[in-house]
Amino acid sequence: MNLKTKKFLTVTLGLLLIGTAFTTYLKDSSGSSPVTEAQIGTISTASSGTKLFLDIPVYNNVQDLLQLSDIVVVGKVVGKGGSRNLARNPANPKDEASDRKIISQEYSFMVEEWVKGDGSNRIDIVYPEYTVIDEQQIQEPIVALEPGHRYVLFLKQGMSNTYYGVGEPWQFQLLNGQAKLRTAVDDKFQELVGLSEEELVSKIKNASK
Amino acid sequence: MFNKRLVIALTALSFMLSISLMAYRVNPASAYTLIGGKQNFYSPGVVAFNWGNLTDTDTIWRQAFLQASYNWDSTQSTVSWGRVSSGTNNIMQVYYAQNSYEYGRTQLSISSGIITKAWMEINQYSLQNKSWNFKVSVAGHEQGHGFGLGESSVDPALMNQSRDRETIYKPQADDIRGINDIY
Repeated sequence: MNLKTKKFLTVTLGLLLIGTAFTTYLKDSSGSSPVTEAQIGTISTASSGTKLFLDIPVYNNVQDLLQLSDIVVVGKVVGKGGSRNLARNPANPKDEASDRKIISQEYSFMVEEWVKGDGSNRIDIVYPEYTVIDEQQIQEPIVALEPGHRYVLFLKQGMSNTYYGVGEPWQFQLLNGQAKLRTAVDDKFQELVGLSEEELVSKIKNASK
Repeated sequence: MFNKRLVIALTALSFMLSISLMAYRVNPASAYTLIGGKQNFYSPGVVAFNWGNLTDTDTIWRQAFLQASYNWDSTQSTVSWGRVSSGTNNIMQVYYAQNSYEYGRTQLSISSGIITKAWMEINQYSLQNKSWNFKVSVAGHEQGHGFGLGESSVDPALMNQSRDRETIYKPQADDIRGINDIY
């Protein structure tokens, strides 16, 4: 094979490679999307073909969590309380909604330390668990609090002296010196994972200065 | 000698270009997601909706949805919302979830790739003290789900839950790419 043939073959091969790559790229750009399943804040009740999507606040750093929380507490979940319907009539919030129920779980929380805010050593936390609408029960994307475990919680004040999560993530479980982020949201939260209890509390206190 | 160098250089260049293009394909800038269904058009490019529990006196909430709808309509996307007084399962309305951080929710029913019902709702409880842009951002996000978009991880994107709702209240390039992918 002489040099001219080699050159011809090499250039042809190169052009073929470019062509293949470019065609593949074009096909991808104009065809189906790169990801075909929703990934964040989405729950799907596959059996009925019904999907629920939520628009919720998602924070990626301690500063935002701290700023938007009414209180930040360290302590222990000491028990489960009752449940209540959080769905109210938009025209008159004193009344319950007639078209749905949003059922919550209440938790009793013993505060060891008020990192932000101040109050008694026991607070009640309300956490929506599922919605009933058109006789269909739709599970909320939650990670239930576990009685007996210690947490750092970022909370907002709600009705009747109760508190609820500020957004996602709002709960860090404290176990063996580590602060484990717990959330149902599929996000990386790079600044908030892998922290020790001491590091997390220190980050919060530094951010509040 | 010169020809040999030229051949080697051309080969290397071709190889690098190919790899770059393939890498771009694997990791495209676009990151919208689709829910696996699309709306039937009421008229070309127009998807019908009606108000749910919103009455004539609920001006602020109706206006938020209408502004969000206008924002979708004024982009390069291929679809828009049009209100009809009956005959649609696409509803825009408010709900009131106390002690909930939810800003809005959309419930979709999908059958054979067609969205047969879309309830696009915004939470009056968590939005009542928020700014106009914030309300429009949430309404537009729910309308995006109504069209068939899922969440996006791109910043900026109306379908990104981490967005700044004060400044991102109109569909962005990633959202429009998603819409144009569906329709």
